[in-house]
This record gives sequence, structure tokens and C-alpha cells, in this order.
Amino acid sequence: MANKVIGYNIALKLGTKKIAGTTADNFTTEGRRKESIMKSDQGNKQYENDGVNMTFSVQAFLMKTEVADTGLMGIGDLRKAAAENQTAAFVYGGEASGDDIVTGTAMFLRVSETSDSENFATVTIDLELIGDPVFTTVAP
Amino acid sequence: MILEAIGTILNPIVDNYPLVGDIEAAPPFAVFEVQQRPIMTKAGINGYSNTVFITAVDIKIPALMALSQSIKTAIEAAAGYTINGTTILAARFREENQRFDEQYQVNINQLEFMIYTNNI
Repeated sequence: MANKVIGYNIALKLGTKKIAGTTADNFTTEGRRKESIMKSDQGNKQYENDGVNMTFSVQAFLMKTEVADTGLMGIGDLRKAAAENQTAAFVYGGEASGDDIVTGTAMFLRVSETSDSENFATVTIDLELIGDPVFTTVAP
Repeated sequence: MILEAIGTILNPIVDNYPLVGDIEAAPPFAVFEVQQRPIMTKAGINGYSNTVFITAVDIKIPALMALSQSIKTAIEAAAGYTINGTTILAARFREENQRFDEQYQVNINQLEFMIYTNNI
């Protein structure tokens, strides 16, 4: 039987690290289409898949990390990664044996921070796929 | 727990009671209640946001407002301290509303605070 997945069981790992304080991940997969029409198509457009676009948008609390937080990216790491358009091997999906995952390389596009006078500061991190993704499952 | 911490903060200022039922008290006194919400991240709970309501009660308005000011100062000064095991990260006064209770002939000021804590 198919089962629903609770949100916190879906994780994004970039290299060996996760983004500290993550509250939500948005992941979009969109097939890239190539449109064509020839006289022989008699007015009907033809579509052909030409790869895939994948984008990530991660919402998180703005977190300071310490030296001991080796598995986490804090705000300093994120600002640097976006400024330099760093790339990282990503794994997105469940973490239990047999869970569906997507792997590949992602590029940091931007880091947007929000800080008001009362609440904890938050950050949104945008990334996109570079190259081709691999659809697989977590090894047992 | 945050309720104990609020009580400890208010103890030097005024008689105080958590709002758990009928209270028989002579003014001045304060009653407090807390709405606690965990701050969730995907890695788990990363603290709590607490909306704290403190209702100050006194007979005369000037005394009530002086009491209210003392409560505001004490609550905001608790930021950065651990009280009764509760670590207070930040404490902010948000708003207050006054009214007069005709039945008991007392003035009432309800103060609202936002308090962020590391633990419950």
C-alpha cells in the first residue's frame, strides 16, 4: 500500500552537510520541452523532452554554527556559497533504506535573509540542478 | 518550566498566581498564563515561543500602572538568564489593555509578552 510521507523525513544534503535550522524544503522538477512544428504535422505542435530543470528553495532559521557543527551549514557558509556560486553533490529525499532519492550536483544561486525587530531571523536558500539527476533509492 | 520562571520573576514584585482556576486574592496581585509553541525545524524542536499574559490587578490606577511598569522591567531583564531551569533567550513586551471591574471595584491591566526560551 502506498504511504504518505511526513515532511521532516525528507531531507536535502549538500556534500556532507545539511542546512542548519531548516524548516521547509521546496523542490521542483520540471521536464524541459522542445517545441517544433513542420508542415507534415498539419498544424499540430510536437513536443520532445530535452532534459530536466530542478530547483531547490530551502527555508531555514538564520543559524550561527560552531566548529563542532561539522555536518551543518550556517549562515556564514551559506553567504559564501551563494556569493561564489559554489556547487555541491546533493542527495534529496528520504533517509530510510529503500526511500526514493534524487542525487546530482546543485549550484547555490542566492541566499535571502529576513530579520525583523521581534522574531528569529530567517533565510531562504535557492539552488538549481547542474547536469543530470539520478533517480535512485537509499541503499539497504 | 516557563510557568515557574514567570512566578519566580514576579515574586519580588507582587503576589502572583498561575491561571489554573478560581483565585481568591487581595489586590495588588498578578495572574499569569502562557501559550507555548515549539519552534520546529526538520532536525527537531529548536526552542519555544511563549506568548505570556500577565494580568495585574490593583485598586488605584496609578498604583496599577507602577506595578505594570515593574513587571515589564523585570520580564525584559530576564533575557539571557536561566530561571528554574528555563533558559530565556529573549523577552519582549508587546501590548497592554486596561479595564475596570465594577463588580470587584479593581483596575486591571493585561500585559502581553513574547518570550523565547531554549526549553519548556
